[in-house]
Amino acid sequence: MLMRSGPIALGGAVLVLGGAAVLGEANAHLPGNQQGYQPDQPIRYSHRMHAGEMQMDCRYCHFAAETGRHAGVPPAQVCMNCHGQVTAGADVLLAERKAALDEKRDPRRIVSDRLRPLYDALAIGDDGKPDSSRTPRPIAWVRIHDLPDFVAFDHSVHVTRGVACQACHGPVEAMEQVRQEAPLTMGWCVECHRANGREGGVAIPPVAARAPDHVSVDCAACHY
Amino acid sequence: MNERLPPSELVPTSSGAPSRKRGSARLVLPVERDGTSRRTFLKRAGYGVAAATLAGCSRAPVRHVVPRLSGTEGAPAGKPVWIATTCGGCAAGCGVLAKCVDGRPVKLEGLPGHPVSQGGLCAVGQAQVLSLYDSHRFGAPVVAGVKSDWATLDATVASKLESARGRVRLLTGTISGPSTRAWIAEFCSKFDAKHVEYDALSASAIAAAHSRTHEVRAVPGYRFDRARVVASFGADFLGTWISPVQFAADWRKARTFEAARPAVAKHWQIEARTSMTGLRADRREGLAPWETGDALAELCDALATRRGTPSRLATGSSRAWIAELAGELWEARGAALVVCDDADPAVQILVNQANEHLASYGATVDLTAPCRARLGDDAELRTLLSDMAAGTVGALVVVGCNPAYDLVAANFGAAAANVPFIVAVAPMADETTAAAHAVAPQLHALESWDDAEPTTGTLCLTQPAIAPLRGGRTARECLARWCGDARPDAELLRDHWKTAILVGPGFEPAFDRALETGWTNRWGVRTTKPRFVAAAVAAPLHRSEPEAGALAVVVYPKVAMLDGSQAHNAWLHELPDPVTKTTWDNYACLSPATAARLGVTTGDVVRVTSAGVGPVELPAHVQPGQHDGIVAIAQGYGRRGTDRFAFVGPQWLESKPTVDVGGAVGKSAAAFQVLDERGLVSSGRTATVAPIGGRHPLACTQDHHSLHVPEHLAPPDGKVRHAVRTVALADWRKDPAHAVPRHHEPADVDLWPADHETKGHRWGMVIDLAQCNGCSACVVACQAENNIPVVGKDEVLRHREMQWLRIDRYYEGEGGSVSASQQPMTCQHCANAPCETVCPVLATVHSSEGLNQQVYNRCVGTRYCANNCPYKVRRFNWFDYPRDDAFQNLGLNPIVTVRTRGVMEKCSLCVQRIQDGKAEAKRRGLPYADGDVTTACQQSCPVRAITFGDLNDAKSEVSGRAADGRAYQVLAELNVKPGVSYLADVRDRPAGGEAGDHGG
Repeated sequence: MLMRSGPIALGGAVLVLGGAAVLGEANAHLPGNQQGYQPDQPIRYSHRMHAGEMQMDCRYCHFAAETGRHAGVPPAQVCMNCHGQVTAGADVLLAERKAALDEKRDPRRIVSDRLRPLYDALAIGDDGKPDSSRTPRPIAWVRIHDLPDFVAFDHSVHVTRGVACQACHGPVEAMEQVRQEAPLTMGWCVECHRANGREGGVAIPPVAARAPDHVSVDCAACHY
Repeated sequence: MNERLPPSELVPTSSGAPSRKRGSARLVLPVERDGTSRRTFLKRAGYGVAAATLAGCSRAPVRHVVPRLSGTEGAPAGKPVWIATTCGGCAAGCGVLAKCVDGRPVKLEGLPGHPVSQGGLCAVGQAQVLSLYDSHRFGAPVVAGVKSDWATLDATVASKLESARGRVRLLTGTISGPSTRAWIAEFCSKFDAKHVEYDALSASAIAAAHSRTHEVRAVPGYRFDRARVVASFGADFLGTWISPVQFAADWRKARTFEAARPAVAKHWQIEARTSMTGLRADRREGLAPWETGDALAELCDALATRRGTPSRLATGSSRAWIAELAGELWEARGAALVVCDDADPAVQILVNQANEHLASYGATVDLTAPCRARLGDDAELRTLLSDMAAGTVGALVVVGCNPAYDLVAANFGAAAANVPFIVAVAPMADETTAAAHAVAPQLHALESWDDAEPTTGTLCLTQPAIAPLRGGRTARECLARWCGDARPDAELLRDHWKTAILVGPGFEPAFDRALETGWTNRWGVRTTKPRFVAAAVAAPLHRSEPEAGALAVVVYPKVAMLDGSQAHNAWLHELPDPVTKTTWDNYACLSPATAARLGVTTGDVVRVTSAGVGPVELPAHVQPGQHDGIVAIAQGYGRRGTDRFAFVGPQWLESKPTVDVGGAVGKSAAAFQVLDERGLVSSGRTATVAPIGGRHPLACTQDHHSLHVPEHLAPPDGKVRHAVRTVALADWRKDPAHAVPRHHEPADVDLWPADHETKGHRWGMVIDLAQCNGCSACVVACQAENNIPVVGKDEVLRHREMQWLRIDRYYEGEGGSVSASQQPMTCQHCANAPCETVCPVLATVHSSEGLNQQVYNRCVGTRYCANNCPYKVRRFNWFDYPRDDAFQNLGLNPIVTVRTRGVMEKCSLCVQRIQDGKAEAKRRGLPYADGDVTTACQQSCPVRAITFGDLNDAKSEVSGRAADGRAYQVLAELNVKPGVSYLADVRDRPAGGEAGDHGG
């Protein structure tokens, strides 16, 4: 018996070892699980700086999270609410101001390289005025948290129920470059739904004067 | 592995092939010395291979999020925006709400509170979203048969119109919008042109009759809501006649069958063909088309006698039912209504006389605010055609109509050949654009600025729900350009409203308010009630019946296809006709007796021959309830370009094209119409019908999914349980709380444990069969909402249509008195669902809210569930249905999964809407309230026959209706505990007998 199955055992052993090696890697998952995905974006936008250091509310940019299914990536105009004024790093701007004082002239407007793609997208010149010779082009961000099309996830019901953004997105305020923290698999979703559903304890703080929470584990809650 | 076992372990099976003996001790696999069995080893090896493979491809393709550059606060991604506008499906001017997601209209809904449609929408209206994304629409103007541009077109048209000044004619369908009419007037004065309007579904005779009897050329506003008795002589007022959504909604108010506030108007239908409306009548009488005038004259005489002013209009024989009808109408005078679709003004004059006897004017017939959905004048059309034939027309501008198809009988083609220049404003290639010298692409109503005035004083606004997808202009913009005004279309409309409609300082807010609500009123336009001119009434010209052996042709509009302007809409082709339940064809309807005389059955090809008309070969359809002396053929078929549907369904080894390549869907019946001194007449031409051999299978869905219970398998008390139950009105009146006997309830035993407890919501539905008239708006609404594919004729013939909601038609009665109950049948969301117990992979399971869920990703396509479903409402994806047209796909509902091959699907009770409704309540911090969620079918229903809601909420409307005395559940004896209940149909018929025992 041993002799006859020897070659198969050998081949199998190689595969087992190979498979184990692959599974041992931190990033190896079943297909569809993109946990750890951290792509480069067209603009090197730092969530750590905006949401962490400056403590901006997530919903300033992702304003649809409270009202719609999709939290949404903000339109470039939202960036310009601040970056119409804040055009470069403080050190650069201060240095320019100092230089201007020294040279007795008005400070020049400096647009940092990091903001250049934003200005290009909006076809705005360094002076902050629309440049009619260029065409505005929307920014194609790389999608990180990408649920399959057969899943219907509604941000608003989670956000208005008091589920923190970090519960699914991880410590975004500490991420220089955003990565997918959670597996976003069905098992992962259902784990939380079970824990907070009627059968389990209520981890979500109940909000006064609101309808009782029905954390559903019905298939049709998400799949239709 | 078998060869490794000793031969003694192999036993022969019945098929002769060796198989491993069950329960053999030797089947325990040898264990290796290290304790790893071969099975475990293979498992590990297999998993290793799989893991290595999967790890290598675990990265999904990179996808992008591309937000707009600015201004999405009002419409964030995926959030629907509702735009109030007006339906462009026909001239009725129903209000719609266009649901736009990410800038694209994906669904139309009835606009609640709209004065015309009152919140409902018909099948044609629902299907408009499909025609918006029709890739066959014109992308650019055509000049002299060559694709061109607007500058060239405008220059060509301007020079041709200029040179033909004084001999220019403008031919349109009904255009009721004041802003377009203003530009028509401007155009006519600039080029000294004449405007001619016609309707392919003409009501010109009604207007002509009123110009004689009331000296007002108008189609009156009919108030079915005020009627207690309606006698309809052939008018299909719930299906196709003038403004069916409005009439159906009004008629519902007159027939509520609520025990607390009973309104039980009676409906007489006197007709030759079997119409959808006729099948819903309390009393239906057959009447040949050539007898209509005689019968009405008799009715007028009978009413005149009762009024004390005897007249002698009738000459013909006496009909038994006339006295009865006259009696009932007279009893209800002041709330009685006589309507008729006859195209002869002389006959319509008799209708007016009858209504005058009944004091209907000012009550059920309103001439002070006439209907403007049919403004056509057939006399002017005749003049135009004779002018064209005589060569005195220098240029013809055709806007938004298709005379080359509609007016075959009037020889439009020959007359058009004498016109040196024809320019057509049309959305896509049709018979008229083929004959035109220049074509201006017309915008879809969902891309347009427009207005309409369906009833005098009611102004409806059309605003774009999307920017023009393929370029184009509205009729108004074309006319303005050719008059030399190059302002944008929106400005033209706004200017007209500013100067002529909302005059005064508060224009901006008033206009914005009108845009928001979709309509507004114009005051001070009602006229005083005109006087009746009795002298105009004369005895009708006696029309002779066809000689023995010949039949009278009746050309009629179908609910979905109407005049044929919708012939490029696949949803409407695949919608089973409410009467015949047949898709993708028109046919020669023959009464059973006539069919027997001719020796034909449904599907036999017959040749219809009439003097002066080329023979038309059509499949026969045997239609119960139809008059023996007629052959009825639907118009709107045989349209040019409909061969595009040849490969509309899935293409596979045995698939057959829906239409022959180069052919068309159905055959045109336009040639059987007549344009004479009466007007555009659709019935009465004599024809002979003869079978020519050969079969043309008709894709009829009525017998699909039927389960026949043989007598010997019938329930023990010998009573066959019918799906549809009917209550006689008298019985219902006697005891509304127990109108339907409860003897069908199952005994108190249950195979299932009561473990389907629904603590929160329990969604359910109640469908009122006394209201449902079969108009099928719900079917198309469901198709649009749930991304249901079109499968084509061949697949329908194989019983593989995909519509989640079907309407079963159950005939009752014999001969001319045939009626029918229409039963919308969809997933019943059984608590003890038979489908759930047989699914091997738990792809269909019960939700905690009483829904029977279908999980596409789990489904492996065994189809056991469909076999075990007693209602036969499950649909299987035999194919990946064609979704190659990327342009068409823009209209898909983005929140509903497009199903792939091999999975089962069925009604979900619009679970996406339930989830949205619950989410909205949560966002507002309020509990769910009754009415927060409407299903697509319920929303569209013009007669509110469908109620949806939470059965656990005792105060909800659906709970109330489910407790109604008419409520019953289909196949309740199976103890599947459906979540959908039906309210028994009610008919004003002689009382007594078992409630609703009639077959299909």
